[in-house]
Amino acid sequence: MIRHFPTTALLCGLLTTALASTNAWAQTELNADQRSAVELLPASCLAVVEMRHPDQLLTTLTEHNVWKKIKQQPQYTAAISNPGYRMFLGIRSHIETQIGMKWREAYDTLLGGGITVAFHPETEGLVALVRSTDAAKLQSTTRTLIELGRTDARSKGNEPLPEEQYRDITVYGKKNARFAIAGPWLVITNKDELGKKILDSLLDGSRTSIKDNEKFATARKSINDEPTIWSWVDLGTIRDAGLAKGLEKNQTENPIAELLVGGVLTNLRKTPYVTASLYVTGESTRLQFAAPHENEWVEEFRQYWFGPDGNGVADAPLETESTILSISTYRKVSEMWLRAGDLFDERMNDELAKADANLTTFFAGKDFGEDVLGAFGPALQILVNRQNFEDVLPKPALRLPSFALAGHLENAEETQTELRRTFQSFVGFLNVIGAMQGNPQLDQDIDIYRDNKIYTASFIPEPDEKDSERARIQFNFSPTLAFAKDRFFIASTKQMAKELVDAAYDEQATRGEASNTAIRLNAKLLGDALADNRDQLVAQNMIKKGQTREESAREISLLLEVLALFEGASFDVRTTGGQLKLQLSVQTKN
Amino acid sequence: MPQDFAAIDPDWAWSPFTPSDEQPWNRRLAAHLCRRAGFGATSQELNELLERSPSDVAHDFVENAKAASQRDPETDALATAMLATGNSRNLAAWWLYRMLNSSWTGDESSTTNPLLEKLTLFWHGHFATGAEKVDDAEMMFAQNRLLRRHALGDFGTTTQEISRDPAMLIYLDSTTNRKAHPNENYAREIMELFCLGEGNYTERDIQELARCFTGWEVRRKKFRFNKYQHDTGTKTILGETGTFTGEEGVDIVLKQKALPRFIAGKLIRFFVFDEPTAPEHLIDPLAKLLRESNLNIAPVIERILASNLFYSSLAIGQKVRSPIELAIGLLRCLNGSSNLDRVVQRLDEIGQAVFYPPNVKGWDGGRSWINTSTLLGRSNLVGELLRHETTRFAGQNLETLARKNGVDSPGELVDWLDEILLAVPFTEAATNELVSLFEQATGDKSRRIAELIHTMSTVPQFHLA
Repeated sequence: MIRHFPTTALLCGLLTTALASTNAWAQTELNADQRSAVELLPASCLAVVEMRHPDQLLTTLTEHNVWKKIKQQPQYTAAISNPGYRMFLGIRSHIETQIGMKWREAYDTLLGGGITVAFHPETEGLVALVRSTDAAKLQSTTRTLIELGRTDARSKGNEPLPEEQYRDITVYGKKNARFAIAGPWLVITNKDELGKKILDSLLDGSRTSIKDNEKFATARKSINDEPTIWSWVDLGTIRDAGLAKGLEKNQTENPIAELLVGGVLTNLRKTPYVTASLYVTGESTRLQFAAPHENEWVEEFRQYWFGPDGNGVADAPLETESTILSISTYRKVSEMWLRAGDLFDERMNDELAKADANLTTFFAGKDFGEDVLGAFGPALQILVNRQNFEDVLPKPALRLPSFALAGHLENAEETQTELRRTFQSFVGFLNVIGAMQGNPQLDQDIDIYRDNKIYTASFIPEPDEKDSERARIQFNFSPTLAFAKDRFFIASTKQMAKELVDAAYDEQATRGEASNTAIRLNAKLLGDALADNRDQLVAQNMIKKGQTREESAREISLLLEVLALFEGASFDVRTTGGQLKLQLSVQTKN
Repeated sequence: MPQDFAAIDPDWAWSPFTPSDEQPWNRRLAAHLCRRAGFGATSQELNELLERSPSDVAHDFVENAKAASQRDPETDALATAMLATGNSRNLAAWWLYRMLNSSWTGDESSTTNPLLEKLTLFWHGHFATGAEKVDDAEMMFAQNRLLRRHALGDFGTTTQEISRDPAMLIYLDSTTNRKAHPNENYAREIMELFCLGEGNYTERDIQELARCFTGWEVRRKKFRFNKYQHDTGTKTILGETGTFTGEEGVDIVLKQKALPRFIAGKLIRFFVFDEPTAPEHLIDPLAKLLRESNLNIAPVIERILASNLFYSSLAIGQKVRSPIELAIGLLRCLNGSSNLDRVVQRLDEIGQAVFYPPNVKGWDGGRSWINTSTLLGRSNLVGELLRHETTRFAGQNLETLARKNGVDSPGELVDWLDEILLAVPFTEAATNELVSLFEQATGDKSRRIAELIHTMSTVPQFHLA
């Protein structure tokens, strides 16, 4: 025993040294490995999310004006002075001391090389690959954090974090939640098999990766500028596997949803993949979805959405100086109405049939779908404007924005007469209802504006209401029908109708956009419209939250201040360059 | 002090209460006064009341309420905002806001007065008008202001004005009253429910009084007298004959001997005890005072709130808290605030939706507040108020409230809550049980206090006022 001990000890020592050397060698090799995360992911991954510069994103967010404003608020001060947050700061400080880095430096170092998350269908696993800019610091920080965690677990009588070896790489955690450090990479997964594939790729070099996947490669090529977060989903494979049953349904029970996203559903039924790109800058946050699109994919019953040859384009929004919201779309509504049997389920078709009968009666026997809706062109707009009550009496207590529907007439001369007659009947109908409910009556009038007739109706105030500044809600409205060129406008106020007529003659305002759908929101005007009703908002807050007037007023002021930090928001749907693109954008002031 | 109502000396009953060694003027008695005259008081408010005698406090309460009835507080701006929505349910939340944020002080800057709101609630139940039928928030608001303006004033003026109130006339189907077909609804109710009570008029009196109201109409939400539809013939009402107008008809009713006794009896039931019906010899002194003060309500209220009977065991804990007293009282006593829209919904579920009385008789009150369904609803209401995300106590939570009131140990906490929330104190055994329960409870202190109060609310005496 004694005689053999030196030999055994020597062998053990040699083996340990050899293993350590192998591990160190492997880690050194890995450190030098310049492959990107997508080169390590299996080619059969179904979804990938990439954030290449998490450090830049955090810098943008922490230096953003909105964040600075939030930090100035008393609620923020209160939140960071509560015991829970102070305890968190204490723990953070302790960890910073242990790892020898401030949290921000640690964040930049450990995540600075990017984060990639993927879903792998064969293993049903999720994996996150985090690349550090300093492999040594990643190793030491991870070890320190693990030791802290283990000490804490032992002190609480819990089982410390287990570890095991896989090809000389230490893997921490239990089944379904494991992580390992391999060179500059932190690999986190919920499936062992997937984790092993990644580590094998790292150690051996992968033969094929998601980068070689044709759909993925095509999608990546289409990125124009570098998004903050980019993601890709192999929708074709998901569909083929029968995992997107919702997309197979042709019919819906919701006409509004059909109008808004019917065309998108058509695309999702055929497109091979979908990408989503998030762009975050100091000035805006933009989320863009894109999917390959071909006009042949569009079913006949959805052509009302895309237009002939898929080139349906909405009008440029008829925005005026007071437009809060504009929604401009290309939808051949008449076609949708007549194809209801293909688009909607039985129940909705029954409802639409009833509505059709009633509306046909209301429009003096003219077929609602074919004659009435058919008289409108496909470019339709809904606009919401802030009302100016400065020189108006009586002023309503609750000051609502005005709104309008705008569009083109297919046969202007003939349709104008029909619309005028229907408008006048409608006003008469409102007067009968109003009289029954004790509401003020509407007085009809015809005005000439820029050589166009404007058919308008104004509520008549009671004698003691004429000069009121807190009049009834009806005094927000003066329903008006107006025409300009081949356009029609049905507006809630005469003022708005006139503004739209002006806009129709303004060449600049009618400049075309290539969107199928364009929605624009002006944050300043929205804030102004809310400020018009500040008393109401304060009152609602007092009742809903039991606040004092001062507390409530403060909260509403904060809401308006935060709103003032934004320029606006927009949403666009376009079919361009063989792609269907949806883009949501929020613009901030910086 | 006699326990038999028949044996109570009315002179003793309505004489001012003088504190004694046996019954000192303390926080528990002050809390009783505030529960009845308003919707309860915070610990601090109770302490301030102890610096004056019970009679002085009652006098100040009435004077402050009278002054407040003539003021337009900032909550009326809130009402304007609520009215813009045109929904009477929102108006109900506005009224609860007034009740909750009322102040006992006579400070000009104070928002609203608890006694004034309590009396307005009393008159709302007396001249019951339902928003469901009126279907117009502005008219309901106008009536509410009318009731508040005259809550402590001349009952005669109140009755004259309510008789021409559009909401009332719509509620009693009297929007059109033609001489060919006089509508008897209002004539009946003014005698039976508003002024005299059953047995003090005949069917003939109703028919004749209805003729006085002919020509009274509501047009475009306003009262209108249509002289062409008024019956100018001779009428005989309650023994008087003449060609009376509507106003003169109301005056005849107001002159009746039965009126002050009817009103005084209702005030005793509202402020002093639910059961039994007050015996005549107890009503008479108040009826006499009411008549002598030209039907002014304020002196009667002051007499009641300062009286021996009010502070006796015949009154303390002898009323069942109405749902509003339960909800607003809990929040008020604990310096709390919450989502009042939600409270309005919950009050509706347990039988007291303000602006929506069940019928022209108003709420029956007393034992009718409690049944198997409302008992659970009342407990749920307390639980929800204590735990709702919008509820705050002392601007923060129950732990803060307890700390601000210097309440530390579980024993102190139970005693403190018992004193400000309960009309009838817990027995020692029950107190010990609650202390033990609190000590065994888990979670943060606010949560434990909430559970303690919720447990207290499951005991029947919590529902007594």
